[in-house]
Amino acid sequence: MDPADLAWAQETIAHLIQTAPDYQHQALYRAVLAALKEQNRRLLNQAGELDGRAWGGKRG
Amino acid sequence: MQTLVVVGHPHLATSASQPFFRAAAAPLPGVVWHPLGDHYAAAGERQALWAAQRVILQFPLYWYSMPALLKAWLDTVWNQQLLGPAGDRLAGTELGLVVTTGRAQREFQPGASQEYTLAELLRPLQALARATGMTYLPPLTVSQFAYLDDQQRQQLLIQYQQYLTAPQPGHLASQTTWLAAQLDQAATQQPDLAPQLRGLQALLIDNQTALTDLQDNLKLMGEES
Repeated sequence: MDPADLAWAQETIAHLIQTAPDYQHQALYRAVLAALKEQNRRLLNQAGELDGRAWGGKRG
Repeated sequence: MQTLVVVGHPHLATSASQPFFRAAAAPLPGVVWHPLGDHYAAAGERQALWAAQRVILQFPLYWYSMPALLKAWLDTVWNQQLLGPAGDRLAGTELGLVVTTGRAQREFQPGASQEYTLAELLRPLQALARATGMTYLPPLTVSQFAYLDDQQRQQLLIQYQQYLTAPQPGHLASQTTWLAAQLDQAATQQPDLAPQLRGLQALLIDNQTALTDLQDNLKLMGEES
């Protein structure tokens, strides 16, 4: 995930939480941010794993 | 999908967590909130069970088991009339558990004060699901609700709503689809915020597509090696 996209999402969600009409919407926005962070973590891990497997035994 | 939430709490009026869950379930279409009382008609209970694609048994843990109120309901309603002559009338229906505990989650493990895990303590209901051909969902356990701060409660609110309505609750892909649908709904309700909400929705979906692609590639590489 592009770091700029994550930064945009964090900023947008912080604003949405502040102006949320109710508790349910606040909870939803927090959950969206948590899901985006989890996706980002998995994307980094899996891209690293793919890179590692592609280069397995071929470095050095 | 229709979800039947059977609430087996003997002191609903004084429970802190159950009004929270009730409010969380209220806006969800297809969710039937069914608190058990002392009196019920078994025939009506069976109709409600047959109509549901997901049945949730929701209760506080009492002496490592369900409260007597819920056990009595199970013993009265769940019989051959419910399951049919072949015993398969609930086959394929999902069975979920929402269990609240007064003790911390970490106490339910070998060597800790409660010694046994919640998965072990809930095994009889897992056996019930197996015997009836139901699909057992990983239980949603909520420990020490009273001590949860506001952010933890908001996290629980969404987790609970997903548990009631999302296919495969707990899976990130399913959560993402569910959240994207909620953002879509929020964008319709708040047109002035629609650009931001739809942007977040697109980001969630794009990320999930990228994750699926990576998983496919990793799987392919695993097959080749």
